[in-house]
Formats: sequence, C-alpha cells, structure tokens
Amino acid sequence: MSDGDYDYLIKFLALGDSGVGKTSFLYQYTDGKFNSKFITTVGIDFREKRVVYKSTGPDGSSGKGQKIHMQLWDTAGQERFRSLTTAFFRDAMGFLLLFDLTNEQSFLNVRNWMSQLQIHAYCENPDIILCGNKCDLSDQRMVSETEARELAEKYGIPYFETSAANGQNVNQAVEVLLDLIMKRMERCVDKSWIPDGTVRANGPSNPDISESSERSKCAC
Amino acid sequence: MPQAADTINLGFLSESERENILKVLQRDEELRQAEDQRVRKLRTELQDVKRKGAKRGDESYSQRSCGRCLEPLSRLALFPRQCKMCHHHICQKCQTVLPDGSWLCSVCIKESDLKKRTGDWFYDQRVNRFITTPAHDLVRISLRKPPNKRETTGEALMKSTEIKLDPPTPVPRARQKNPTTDKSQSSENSGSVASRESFESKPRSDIESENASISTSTTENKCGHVTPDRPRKEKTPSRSSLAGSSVSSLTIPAKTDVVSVDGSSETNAVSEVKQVSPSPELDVDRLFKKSIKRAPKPQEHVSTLDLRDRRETLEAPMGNRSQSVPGLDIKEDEEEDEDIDSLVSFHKRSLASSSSSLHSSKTTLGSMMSIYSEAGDFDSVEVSGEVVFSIIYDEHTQSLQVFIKECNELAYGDASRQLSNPYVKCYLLPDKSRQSKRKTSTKRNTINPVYNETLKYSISRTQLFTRSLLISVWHHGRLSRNTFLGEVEIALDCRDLDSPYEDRVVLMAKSASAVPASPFAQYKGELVISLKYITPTKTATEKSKGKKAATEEGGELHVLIKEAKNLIAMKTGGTSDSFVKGYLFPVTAKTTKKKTPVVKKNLNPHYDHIFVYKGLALDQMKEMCLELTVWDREAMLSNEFLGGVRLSSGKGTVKIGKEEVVMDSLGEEVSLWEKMMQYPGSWAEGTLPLRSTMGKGK
Ligand SMILES: Nc1nc2c(ncn2[C@@H]2O[C@H](COP(=O)(O)OP(=O)(O)O)[C@@H](O)[C@H]2O)c(=O)[nH]1
Ligand SMILES: [Mg+2]
Ligand SMILES: [Zn+2]
Ligand SMILES: [Zn+2]
Repeated sequence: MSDGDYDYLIKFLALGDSGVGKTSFLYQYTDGKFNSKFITTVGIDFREKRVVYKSTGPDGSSGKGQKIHMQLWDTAGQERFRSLTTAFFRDAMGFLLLFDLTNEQSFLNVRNWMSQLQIHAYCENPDIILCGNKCDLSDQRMVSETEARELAEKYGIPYFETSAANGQNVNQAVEVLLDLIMKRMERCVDKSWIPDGTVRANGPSNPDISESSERSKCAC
Repeated sequence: MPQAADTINLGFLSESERENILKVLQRDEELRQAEDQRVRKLRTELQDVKRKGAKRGDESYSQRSCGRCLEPLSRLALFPRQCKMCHHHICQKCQTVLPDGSWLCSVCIKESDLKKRTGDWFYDQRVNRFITTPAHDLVRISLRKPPNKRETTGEALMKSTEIKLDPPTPVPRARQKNPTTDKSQSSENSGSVASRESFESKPRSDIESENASISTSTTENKCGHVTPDRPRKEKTPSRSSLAGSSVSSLTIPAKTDVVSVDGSSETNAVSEVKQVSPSPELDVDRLFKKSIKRAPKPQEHVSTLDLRDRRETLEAPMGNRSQSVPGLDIKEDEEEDEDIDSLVSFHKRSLASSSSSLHSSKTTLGSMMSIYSEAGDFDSVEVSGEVVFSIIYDEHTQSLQVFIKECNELAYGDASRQLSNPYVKCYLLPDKSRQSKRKTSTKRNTINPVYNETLKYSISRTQLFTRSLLISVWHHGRLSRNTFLGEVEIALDCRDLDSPYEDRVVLMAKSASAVPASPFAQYKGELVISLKYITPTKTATEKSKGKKAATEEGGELHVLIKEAKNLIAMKTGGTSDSFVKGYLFPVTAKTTKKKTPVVKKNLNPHYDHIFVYKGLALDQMKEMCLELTVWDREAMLSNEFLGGVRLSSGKGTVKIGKEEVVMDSLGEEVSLWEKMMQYPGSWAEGTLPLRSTMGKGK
C-alpha cells in the first residue's frame, strides 16, 4: 500500500466526541462498510485510501487526474487520550469534525473542538468539514439541520449531514475537504512569487529563510 | 499542562493500549518512509531540471539570452518573457503555460510543482506557525541545528516511546535519567535519548506552546527526514495481523505520467556551481539544501565562455588538417604551451657555471624545473637532423643576434601522418623565463624548414660570458601539443661572436635523466576541483520536440575549477595572472579545449568556473583522461606553465592525436576520477597537488 506511486500524500484527521461515529465514518469511506459494534478507538489510528483527484478549472474543464494517497487519522474522543490525540493535529492538512445528530452534547462540544484545532493545527484557519453524523437515525435526532448549518456558517466551514451506516454524504464530505486542500495548496505555491516581488524560487536563497518571512500567516 | 520532553510517557495507558498505539505508529512509519523516498526522488528530479537551465543573478545579462536554455533572445520581444517567479528572461520554448494562461519558466514550474508534491507547502506553513514563538528561534540558533520541519508527531512519538514501551518491569520511571538500566537490546536507543535529553533541556520551553507533551521532542530531530538511525529491529513482528485488518486499499488508477520535465535539456550549457562535499553519501536532501544555499556569483561568465568554446570547436578541425592555413600560428601563439623548463632541468645540471647566476635571473625558481610540452612525448620521437645557424654579437645595438637559417632532415613530429610543422626556439640560458625565449615562425609540413630569421637578445657583452644558447626544434602539433624534435646547446664563453660563421650542428635528444623522477617532486601548489558526471536524461519522448539529437546521446562531465593554492609567482611583485586550461582526451569534436578566465595578481586564485563536456557515456569515462593545467597569462608573450593535473583511471592508454599515451594519473588524480564515475549526479571534490610536468613518464 505504501509504495511511493502517487502524486500527493494528503493527511486528514477526524475528530469529535467519543461515539459520534468517527471510526465508522472512516471505515465507511475507505472500505464502504459499516459495523454497528462499538469498539473504542485506542488513542489514535489511521486508514489509507487512494483516489484520483481531478481538478476542475474555472471553465468547468477537468484537468489531468492526480493520484492521491490519503492517510486518514482517527482519534479517540475520550478526554483521557486528549494530550495524545491533539498532538497529531499538527500533522494533518485537513479535518473532519464530527458530531452525533442524536447527541446534543456532542454538538455543543464542536466549539471546544474548534478551539483545540486553532491551537494545535498547522495553521490558525485550517480546512475543516463539519459533519452531523448518524443522520440515518432521524427519529432520534436531537440537532436540527438549521442550527448545525448556522454553526458551520459561523465558522465558515462546509457542513454535511452524514451517515456512516448507510454511507450518505460520506464520500462527498471527504471529497470536498480534498478539494479545499488541493486549492489551498495551489494558493500557497502561487503566493510564493506574488508577495513582494523579490526574486526567490531558484535564486540562491535559502528557502527556509525566505519563506518564513513571506508567510508568517497562513491566510493564503 | 505541557509536560517536559523526557517525561513523555504513555504510562497512563494499559499495556495493550500502548501496544496498539505502537503498532499504529509503525504502520505510519512505513508510510512515511515510502513518502521520504518519493520526496527525495522528486527533489532529485528538480535538481536535474535546475542543472539544465541555471542562469541566475545578473538580470542585465539575462536579457540577451534565455535564462534557461541560454539561447540568444531576439530583440523583438512580442510577448512578455520575464518569468514572474524568477524574473529571468525566458525564450518561448522554455515557458510552460499554466491553466490560467500565465506561464512560468521550466525551472520555476518544476519547483512550484515540487512544493505541492512534496507537501512542502504544508510543512512550510506549519514551521511558520510554530516558529513564531520568540524563544523558539533563539534556541534553535543557539543550537545551530536546523529544524526538521517534516517530522511528524508519530515519528517523534515513535522515538520517544520505543524505550518505554517495552520496559522489563513497569518501572515508574518518570525521567530517563538512567538509560543504562534499560535492557541491552535498547541500549542504542537509550543512548540517543539520553543525549537528546541533555541538549533539550534548553529548547523545551519553546515547544510547550505548540502542543501537548508527547510531541515535545519533535522539533529536535537530529537526523533529518530520513532518520536512518532509528533501529528497525525493535519493530514488533506481529504487525501484519493488525495491519491486515485495518489497511484498506481501493482502486489505484493506471499510471499516468503527470510529471513532465520540461525539455530544456537540449541546449543547456551550464549548471549551477554547487558546493557539496564529495562524500559518497547520497543524501539528496542535503545536496539539495546545500546547493541552494551557495550563491555562486561567477555564473555569468561560465555561460559566456561556454559559448565561446563552442565557437572554437568549429575552428579546431581546420587547424588539424591543413598545412596551409595561414594565421594558425598567430592564433595559437598566445596560448602556446611551454616546454622550456624541461630543457632547463637538464641544462641546469650540465652548466654548473651558470647556476651561480640563477639568483640574478628574473625567473623564479619555481619555473625552472617544470616542463609542459603538451604532448610531453619527446621520448617517442627519434631525434634526427641538424640545425643550421650563426651567432654574432652586435656591438652597435648591444645585442646578441642568432640567425636561424634552416633545419635538415628533421624527424616527423606526427609520425603517423609523416608530418612536421617545425619551429625553432631559443633560450639564452640560464634564463629560462619567457624573457629569454625567442621563436621562429612555424613552417608547415616540412622536415627541411628554411627560416632565415634572426632572433635578438639585448645584452651586454660581458654578460655573455656566463651564458649559453639553447636551440631547440619543435613540432607544432594539433591543439598546441608540441613535440620535441631535438636540441643543441652552444656555450658562448669560448665562441667567437664577432665573425658570423655558419654552424651546422646535429640535433640531440634530451637525456632521459633530465626529466625529474616524479612530476610531483616539486611543490607547485594545488588545484581544488569538483567533478560530476550527469547521466543522460531519460525523457526520450522529449526528443520529439525537435532538438538536436546529438546532445541526448550521452551524459555530461562537469568540471568545477574552484581554486588554486600556493601557485608559483611569475610576475614581478610576486604574483601571477593565472587561468586554467582543460583538455579531455581522447579529443572528440565536442570536447575541445576549455579555459577559465584569468584571475589577476593572485597566487591563490578562485576561478569558480565550470567546464562542461557533453555527449559522454559513463563507461566511456574509464578510458578518458582530463588534463587541467594552470598557466600564467602574459599578454605579449607565451603563457608560462604553472602546474597541472592529469585525471584518469590511471590504467591503460589514451589516444592523443594518433598516439597512445599512458595515463599515468596517481593518487588523488585517480581516486577523484573514480569517485566521479561511481556517483553520477554528485560532486566529487578534491584538492590535487600540481604536477611540475605534464610529460608522460615512461
Ligand atoms: N446508525 C448509525 N450508527 C452509527 C453511525 N456512525 C456510528 N454509529 C455507531 O455509533 C457507535 C460509535 O461509533 P464509532 O465509529 O466507534 O464512534 P467514534 O468513537 O467516534 O469512533 C458504534 O456503535 C457505531 O456503530 C451512523 O452513521 N449511523
Ligand atoms: Mg473511534
Ligand atoms: Zn530557453
Ligand atoms: Zn522562472
């Protein structure tokens, strides 16, 4: 699996309260399966999947396919693992923040997770997708779609109602996140020749130095 | 909340939990290793592209030629042609159009593509974020260790947990104060942890803000991305059972070539001047980083010269085949290579009387014992014939006048072609400097040249008493490789210089003993160079772009002439104006003479100049021989030989002209050449002692 035959290694991380369905979600995404048995994730875990990413140009034309190797980190939501799991936040390029539509507390805790992300992620405004999971259990629903969307809007992040059980919106959520990452990547690279017009790139400069001055913020 | 690095400890986990986590980390490590490899490969690719088109710096220069392929740019710029990233002027061939309609040059496109593919865009940002902690910078600088920005938490955790995950007993060891108590199997590990602990006592604080305790040691990875020092033996063998259940793999699409290296390869001339240790380690990352850091300024003239050399290439064959090319003499004259010193070494011995006056001579001692007849093959020519001359002293002009009439029945300088282009050269010994040198014209294709030329020395009559006249005959060979045809020495102390009588003297061979036993017997200084062989580009498909096929048939030898040290002073004031000349043998059309610019008034000159020899296959190099010679430039006179090196495998012979010459490279000359062949793509650097003679030993 981990031969180097891919174009990009993209690392995502799923977070959220324990039991909201992170493990199930990732399992559904990578394997297309669902297991109703609840096995607590011990600290951390990850899954892998390869996809082909086709960027869509402004004219709607799709470019050449890029081979993506995805590493999807799963984290334990339990407090006792917190120090361990947050340490892994910094390695992820994008985040799937899940809450359980049938569990209001998990929704209220989204705020906490967001602030954890702001502290521990690679930059202050990383790409995040909010997922209200277990949408198949509509009769037990405790969080309305409207209030969930409002929260997502407040943070400026996309929102999906997903089901790890039947797979609804699971692929879509990850694909949107991937698209965000790939676009951010382009912006970051583009930006490197715009800022102050200095000659760098192939110039005799040390990239480590020149870049740190150029991008103190990640708002690219 | 944040804990110190050495207290990282998964003690709160149960035995099985730790085991689980470790397995995850191990899977992660495998993925990371594959990724490291991939990234290194990408960086190597970028290096290749950069190497091919690498004009930098001076932009005024670059307006006249393409910054990548170095082809001249037409004056009429119909399109904007400054690359928005590197600001070089770029020809249309070397522009790659982006989806949004803009374009970048071949190198910049590759570089920005690489930023994405390697994940550098991400790591660069992350570094910025966590580096903003003020203390962080300071500590890092004080430790003089670059951060490993790619290290992941998993990687760090892996390192810090390895020791702790398998304790003999669940010791409540909060700190690794006692690594020696660890099991022997992990002694290697604990050692490294102990040291990490000690030098991390300071930087600890800087990381606290960025994340929880576990990753505290992350930024202090000593060994770069690859971390080859991590002991692999500790991996749990049970990995497969766990991995099997959790790793999923789905459709992997058919391979498509997404990376397209821009085809600027055809016309490349120069590569960047890189300074990399020649050590055989193939750490591409390091190569890459270092090469960027160095900012070699003399790039521009590298390319200029290269163009000029190309022009010379065209001229060279003419000189070889023609007996009647006029002006050849003049053209080559200023760079004619000296052979006087070989003569001197002989005559110094034979003329004991003159040695006393050596000190008064303007020549420095260093020039005396050297020889550089580029062919150096006087032994291979059977000396024959005679020289006809007369010598008078003209009181009126206070000058000694040597009338060279003719030579008869000379040997063939080029035996295989039954050809001689002879000229006569005189020195008024013991002065062996160029001030003492006089030459006749060169006669073409004859062994019975008639000169009727007078060579004059301004000198007082009384001084002649201690002098002698050395008359030597040389064949002017191809590429200035001259062949010794014979010599005579006329003592002046007992000669009647008042009546011009014609002398007819049989030419003599040099005594073999005149040649110094070892070309290294005398210290002539050193030459610092780097060699790199670049394997040919494999992008065969790029050929279809319609470029000359010639450049694709082989790789390139890049010879970086860095500097010379402790050269012999040739000029008054104790300096020399030196340059380095390169010949790659056997000579092909592509590998002609190269020269560095002259560095003036410096006995430790920095040339920082690259000779590029193209169209060479790697296994061809075994049979090739590179001669680099250092010369003192003299505007009106011949250049003076300062020393040289001969690089080759040291085995076998090489064809120079029509002759098989022994490749007598020694020591560093051999090892550097072999290192170059052994590690294509890497610079092999060496400091070579300069030979005092390039004569081929027998
Ligand atoms: N019906 C339903 N059950 C789910 C869904 N996602 C997870 N579950 C169940 O919720 C429990 C916790 O799921 P898990 O993936 O382990 O949550 P985690 O702690 O966030 O990793 C398990 O019993 C799952 O079967 C879902 O979308 N629909
Ligand atoms: Mg879980
Ligand atoms: Zn070009
Ligand atoms: Zn450019």
